Amino acid sequence: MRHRRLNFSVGAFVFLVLFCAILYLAPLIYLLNVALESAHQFLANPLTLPHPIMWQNFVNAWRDATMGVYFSNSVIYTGAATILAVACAVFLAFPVERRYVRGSNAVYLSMVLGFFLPIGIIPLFIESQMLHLYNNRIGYILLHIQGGLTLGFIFFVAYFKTIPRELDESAALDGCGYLRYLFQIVLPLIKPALATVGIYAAVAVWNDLIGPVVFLANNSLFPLTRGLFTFYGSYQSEWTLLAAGIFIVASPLILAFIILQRNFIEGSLSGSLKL
Amino acid sequence: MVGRAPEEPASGAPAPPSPRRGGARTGVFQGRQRAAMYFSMLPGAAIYLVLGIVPSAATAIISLTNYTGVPGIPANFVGIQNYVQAFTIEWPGVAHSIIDTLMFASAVTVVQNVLALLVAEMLRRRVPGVAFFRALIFLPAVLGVTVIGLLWALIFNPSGGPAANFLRLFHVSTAFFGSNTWALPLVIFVQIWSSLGFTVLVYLSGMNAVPVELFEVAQLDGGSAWNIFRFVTFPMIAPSVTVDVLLAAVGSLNVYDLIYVLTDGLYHTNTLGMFMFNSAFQGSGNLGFGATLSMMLFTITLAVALPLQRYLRKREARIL
Repeated sequence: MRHRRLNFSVGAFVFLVLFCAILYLAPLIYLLNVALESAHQFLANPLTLPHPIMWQNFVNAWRDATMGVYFSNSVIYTGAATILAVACAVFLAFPVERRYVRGSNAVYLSMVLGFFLPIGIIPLFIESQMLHLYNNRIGYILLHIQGGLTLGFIFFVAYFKTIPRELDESAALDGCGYLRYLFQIVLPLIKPALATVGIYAAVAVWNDLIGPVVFLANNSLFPLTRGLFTFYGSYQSEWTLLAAGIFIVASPLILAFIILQRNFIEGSLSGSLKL
Repeated sequence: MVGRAPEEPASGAPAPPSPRRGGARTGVFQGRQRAAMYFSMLPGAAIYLVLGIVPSAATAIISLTNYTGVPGIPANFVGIQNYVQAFTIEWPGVAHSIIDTLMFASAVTVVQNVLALLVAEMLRRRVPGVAFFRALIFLPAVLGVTVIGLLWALIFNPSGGPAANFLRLFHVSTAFFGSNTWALPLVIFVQIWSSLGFTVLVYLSGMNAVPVELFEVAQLDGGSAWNIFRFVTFPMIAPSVTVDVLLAAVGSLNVYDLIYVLTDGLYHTNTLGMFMFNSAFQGSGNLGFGATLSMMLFTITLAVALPLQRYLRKREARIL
């Protein structure tokens, strides 16, 4: 703070204001603007403020794009895949970090290796058909555990290191079972890590578009991303409805980002450290 | 910024958990508790093996077959036929695709990093509202390719979109994402827009790790802002440069979901990833050939990333 005057730069401030306003705020404001315009106004003069304000666009977009179905699919997929990914990662990471099981080194190395290997979307598609994971909810969820599992594993191993082994020993001596120890003692100690991995994994599942294109065929199974993209395909000229649709899909993400920003940034930075 | 995230993976392979003599430690959880431990590991291990390791390795095998993905049609082992095809009948398309990929990836890597350095340098100075700017630039990372793609399709809508209206002032009109000239630059722009925030954050955390005294001394010696950046900031953040350049290069070589939304690979934006996806999953669904393209992309990624990583690490060692 001592150097506030030394470092303050008007030029930097002006640059940042212009940069953010033109490239980041303006597109989002324009999106909202179009979402509130009547189709007539959009064709005549889209850059003017909406008049009259068409709240109806949101209702119509929600109804015409059958977003209710997509929305509940997205919630189910994201919720289930995230919880399962985090649980699997904890169950794998703890014994491996503690070397309580044989082959801990091998498991650890293969998880790190998995970070480097390309995701084989083509073999995954073939496997999904062989294992009957294609075009059904359970399969779609199972196919989306992988990403969060690997990130979570690497992340949790680092966190478990901070929990002293003596705690395990005294719990075992007191007759506390392994699973109870994990859930009641260990998990509360790594809450921040659980939140970070969970949020990062959830956003990845929620936003996935290639997954639903490859692994789902029925409209009724689509999540929001694919639903919105299909809507785009059939309503290409009706931009006011489409903008309302984009806004509906984006707003929970923007809201979640505002609340959970720190967790998200932390997860994304550490996810990158795989290099 | 990174918080308590593991730091060591930034430099080389992460260290394995501290080795203990005698391999597995027994003695803490025994009997039924030990069984519960093994049992709880099963679901994760099975999913990782079947849906993680196997598909990663199997692309190479699929590329040697004529798998179509259409139920009922048998798949045969065809040797290197797909590779022969890629270099003969399909070569014009493949060659174009390789050119598109390299143009896309090099433009994204260079521009994204230069721009991110500029933005990070501005954010580093004590300006009001830093947290807000940083969050705004990072926001696209959460929006996902569908929202990002459609948002920019709305802005670059050729009939009456704001970009088209602006260009009309200069009596210019173009189809934007439907134009052979503009589609690739615009896709590059949107890709940079969506990943800039992350690149900035990595640079910023690198800059924050530089001792303040270094800047003070440079400033007292009367160094200009540009010279301080050139001789102090930029050399000191060499590890961040390594991470950001490598991630941008590997990431942009392999991107196709955003391109799928914006152009579906048309108008000279058919990168290898996009070509792979469309060969495998559109129309006849030639999974074998798609896997071949995937292997070519993997080879190119390695051929770019490994020398690049070696160069950047050497550079770090030379500077620091």
